[in-house]
Amino acid sequence: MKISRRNLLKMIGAATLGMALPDELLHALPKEGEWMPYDEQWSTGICLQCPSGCGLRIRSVNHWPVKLEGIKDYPVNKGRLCPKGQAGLQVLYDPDRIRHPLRRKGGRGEGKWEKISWDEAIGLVTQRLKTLRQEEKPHQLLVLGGRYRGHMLDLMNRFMEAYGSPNHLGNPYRGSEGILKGHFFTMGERDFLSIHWEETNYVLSFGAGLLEASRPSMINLRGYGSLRRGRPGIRGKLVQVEPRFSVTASKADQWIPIEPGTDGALALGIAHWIVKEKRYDQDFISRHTFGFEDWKDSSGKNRIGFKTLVLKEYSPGQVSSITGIPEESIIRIAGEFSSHRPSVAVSGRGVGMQTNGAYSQMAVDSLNALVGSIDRPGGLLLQRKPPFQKWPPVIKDPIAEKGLSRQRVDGAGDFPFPFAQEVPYVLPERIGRGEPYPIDTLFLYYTNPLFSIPESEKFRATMEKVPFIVSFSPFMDETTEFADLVLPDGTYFDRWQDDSPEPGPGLPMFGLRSPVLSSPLHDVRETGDVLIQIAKGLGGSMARSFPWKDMQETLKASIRGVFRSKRGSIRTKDFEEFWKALVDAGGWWDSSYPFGEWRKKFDTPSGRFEFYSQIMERGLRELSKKRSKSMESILKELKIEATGDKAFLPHFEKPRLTGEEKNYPFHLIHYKLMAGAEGRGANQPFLQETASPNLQERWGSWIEIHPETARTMGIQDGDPVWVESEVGKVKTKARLFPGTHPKCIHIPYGQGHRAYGRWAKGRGINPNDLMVREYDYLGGFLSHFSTRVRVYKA
Amino acid sequence: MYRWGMVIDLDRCTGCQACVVACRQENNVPFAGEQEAVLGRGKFWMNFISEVKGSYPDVKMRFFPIPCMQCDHPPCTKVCPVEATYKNPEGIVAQVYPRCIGVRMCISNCPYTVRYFNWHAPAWPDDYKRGRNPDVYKRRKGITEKCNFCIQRIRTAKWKAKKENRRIHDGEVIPACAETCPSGAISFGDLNDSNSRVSRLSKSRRAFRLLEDLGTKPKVYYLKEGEWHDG
Repeated sequence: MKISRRNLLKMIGAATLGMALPDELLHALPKEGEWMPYDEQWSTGICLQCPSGCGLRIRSVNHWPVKLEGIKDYPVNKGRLCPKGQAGLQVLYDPDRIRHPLRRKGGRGEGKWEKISWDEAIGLVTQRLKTLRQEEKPHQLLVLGGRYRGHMLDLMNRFMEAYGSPNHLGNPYRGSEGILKGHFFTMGERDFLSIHWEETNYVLSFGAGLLEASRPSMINLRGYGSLRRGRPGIRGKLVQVEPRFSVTASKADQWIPIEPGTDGALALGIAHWIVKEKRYDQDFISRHTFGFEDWKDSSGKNRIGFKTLVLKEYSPGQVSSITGIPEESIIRIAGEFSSHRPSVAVSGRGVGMQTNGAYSQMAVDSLNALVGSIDRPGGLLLQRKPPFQKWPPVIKDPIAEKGLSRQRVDGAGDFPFPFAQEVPYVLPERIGRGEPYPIDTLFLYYTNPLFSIPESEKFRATMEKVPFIVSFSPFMDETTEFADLVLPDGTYFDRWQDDSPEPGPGLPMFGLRSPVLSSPLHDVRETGDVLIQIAKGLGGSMARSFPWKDMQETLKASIRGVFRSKRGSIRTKDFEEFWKALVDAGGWWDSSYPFGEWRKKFDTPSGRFEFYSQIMERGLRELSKKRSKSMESILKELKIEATGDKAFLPHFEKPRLTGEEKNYPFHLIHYKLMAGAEGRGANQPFLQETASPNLQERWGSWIEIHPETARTMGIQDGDPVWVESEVGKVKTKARLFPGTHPKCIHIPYGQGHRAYGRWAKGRGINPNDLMVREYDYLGGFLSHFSTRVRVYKA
Repeated sequence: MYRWGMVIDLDRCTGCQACVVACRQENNVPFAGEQEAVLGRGKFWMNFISEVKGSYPDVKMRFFPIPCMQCDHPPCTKVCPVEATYKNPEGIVAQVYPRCIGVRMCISNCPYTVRYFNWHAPAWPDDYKRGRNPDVYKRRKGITEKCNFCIQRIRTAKWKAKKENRRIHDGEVIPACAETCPSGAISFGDLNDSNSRVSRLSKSRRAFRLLEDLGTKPKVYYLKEGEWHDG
C-alpha cells in the first residue's frame, strides 16, 4: 500500500477508532525530523528578471513551484542564479498580479475596472482594429513594446507589417543603445558583445556595472569568479574607470575616478600611447581594420586615419586635462593593457548614454581593435545565431502597403535622429500636436513609459489624446493604469516563449520557456496567442499571415530549422522527440564558438573593423542629399563639434549638460543596484529588502553626496533634502558616501513607482522625474547623464 | 561521521547577495517589511555586511556574507536554559524550535550576530504561501531561528546515500547559498574528508576565520582577496 497523506489520515482515523495499529502506519509516522512523502517535480524555464535570460530548474512540490535553481549546463548561468533570479517566485505569486481581462469603468487612471471575458476583450480589440483598417488608417495603430524575447519581437513586427503600421517602437535595448551604436558604427554589429572571461588577463572597464547591472549580468558575475580564481596561477586584473565608487570599482584591482562623460577621451589617450609606442597588434590592424593609417578615397583625396588623429590630439597630457586623470596613470594603464594580452575594454551605460555616447563607445571599441581582441580567445565575443527556420513572407494587402509607406510617428531614421531605431521620448510633443498624424490605438507590451521615460507627466498628458489604449501587462503598472482595456499576459512561468540571451555566451543558443503549471495561476493568456487570435479575427491578409494555431506552433515552425541542422546539444531522429528533449533541457546550444570569423561578422562596407566609420559617413551623406544641406551643416544640426574626417573617427566631444552650473551645481548620475536594476523588481519584497552594499539601505531611495560637500552645505547623514533640476524636484534623504564624486549627486534607479503593486507603490524617488530630455542625436538615443541639479535641506 | 564546513572565497565574492535571497526562499524566511527592517529586525540567515573606509578618491569597501559559523565551541548553546540549541554530532549548531522559549540569551551571546528572533508570527501574503518549501520546519512567533547549513538538504542526501550504502560524495549536498552563488565563491562539504574541496581550501594560505581569537572555532572559513602582480 502506498502511503500518501490521504491514506495516512485514513489510517490515523482507523487507529483512533480502537483498531490495531498496522505496521505500515508505524513506519509511516514521521520520526523527528522526517517528512511526509510528497510529490516532487523538476521542470525548466528561462528567467526574465533581466535580459540575461538564465536557464531555470524549477522545483515544484505537490504541483506548486517552491524553489528556483539554475540549469547546470545552460551556457549563460551554468547552474547559478543572481538575487533577482532567486526572487523569481515572488513574480509568479505576486498578490497584485492582474487576474483576468479588465475594462475601464471610471475615468482614465482612476483605478475603476470591470472584469470581462477573454472573448469579449479580444472582440473589442479586433473590432477596433477592423474599423481602423476599413477607414484605411492602419498607421494610426502605435505599439510600444519593451522586453521582447526571442520570436515575440518577430511576431509583433509581423503583426504590424501585415496590419500596415510603421509605428512599432519595440526596441528591447532601450536605455543602453549607446553601446550598440558604437558597435554598429565600427563593426556593423547590432548585438551587445560579451567578454570571453575564461581566458582574458586584463579587463579595462569604462564604467561598466559588471557586478551590478550589466548585459549579460550573469555571465559577468560568473566571469568575475573565473578571472580571479578560474585558472591556477593566473589572477587577471580588473580596472574600473568611473566617477562613482561602485561595487565593481570596489572589487577592481584599481579604481580610476574620472570626470563624468570623458571616458572617450581616456580611451583615446590610451590609444595614443599604444600607437606611439607601436604596441598594437599590427597583424590584426593591417588585415582586419579600415582607416587606421591615412588613406586616399576613390577620388584620390587624402583622408585622415585614426593614427594621425590620436597622435595629434590625444596625448596623455591633453587627455589628463580633460579627464582629470594623471598622465602617469594613463601611461601605466596603456602599458598594462597592451602588454597583458588577451586584454579587453568594455563600457556600460554610464559611458554610452551620454550626448557623446556613440563616439565614446567607438573609442572603447578601437582599443579592442588595437590589441586585436575581437572574436579572439580572451576578447569580445560576437554573438552567433541559432539556425532557425524563417517564417513564410508576410502577406500585405494594399491597405497595409499604403500604411507602411507613411512616415513614422516618432521620426526615427530621419532627421534629427538619422540612425535611431525608435525615439519614444519625442512622442509627447509629436502625438500632442497630432504630428504627422493622430494616433488612434496604442498597444503596450512589457513596457512602462510613465515610469521609465523622463518627464513622464508630459507622456501622461499625451496618452489622454489617444482614444484607445490596450495593455498586455501582467501587472498594474503606471502606464497600464491609464489603459482602457487590459489583456493580461502571464508571467515568464506561464508561457511558451523562446529566449535568445542578449548577449549570450557567443555560441549559437536559445532557451525555451514552457508553462510550469498545468493551467495558469489566473485567467491570463500569453500575448503571442492573443495576437494570433486577433489577426485571425481580422481575416483576409492578416489571417493568412498567421497560419499558426498559437504561439507554441509558431515556435515549432522556427525551431524546426534547429532540429534539421542536426548539430548542438540536442540531436534526434524526429521533431517530436527533439521538442520533448528541448522542453526537458530548457534550451539548445551549439558545441563550440567559432573564433576568428571577422570577414563574416564585420558587417561594414569594407568588411573590416572601421576606425573610420563608412556606415556613418554613408548615412549622413544620404541625409545631406535628401535635405539638400552640406555635410557641415548636418553635423552642426546634430550638435557635433568635429568637422571633416574627424567626425567619422572616434573622437572626444564635450558632453552637453542642462542647467547653469551657478544655479544647479551638481551633476546628476543615477546608477543601478544588483537587486534593483531597472525597477521591474520593485514589486518583490525579497529584492526590496536586499541591502545596497555601500550603505546597507533597504526598501527605499536616497541620494549619495560627498561628505565634505555635505558639510559645507550643513547637511547631515540622513537629513531630508530636496533635489531639484530644471524640470522637476523630488524629496528624499541624503546619505553621505565617501565614494561620491564631489561634484556629483548619485541616485539608485528603480524606486519611485506610483503604481505596480503594494510593495512598489509610493516608495522612494524616480530619477526620471529630474531628468531632462537631451540626446545623442547621432546615435539617436536619450542621454541619461545630462542633467544638473541643486540640493537643499528640506 | 561527517563534519560539515563552508569556505567563502572573498576574492570571488561580488556582493550580489544571491546567497541572501536563495537562503530566504529555501528556508521560508519571511521578509520583514520596511518598518521592521529599519529596526534591524530583518532575518538574514545568510547575512551580508559591508564596510566602507577612506575618502575620495582613496576609498575601500569590503563585503562579508555571514552565515552561522557553526562553531565547534559555540558560545550560544551554553547559555540556553532549555537546551533548545545544541551542536549536533556532525557539527551543526541546530535549533530545536518547539523547545525554544525565546529568552534570547543565545542571540546576545553570539559574537557573529547571526541568530534571529521572531518578533512576529511569519507573515506571508496568501498567494506566496504556495511557494513555501515543505522541507523546513515552520517557526512560530517568539522563538529564535538561524542558519543550519540547509540541514534538510543534508538529510535528504544522507537518506539517498544510505539507501545506496555509501557515503555522501563531495559536492553532492550543498546549501542553497552555495548552489546559487554566481561566481562560485561558496564551497561546502565534509571537513573530515581530507580530499574534499572545503578541506583543501580551508588549509589554503589565504584562509582565515572571523574573530578567531575568541576560540569559537568556526567551521566557516574565508579566503582573503588576492592582489594583482604585474608579471
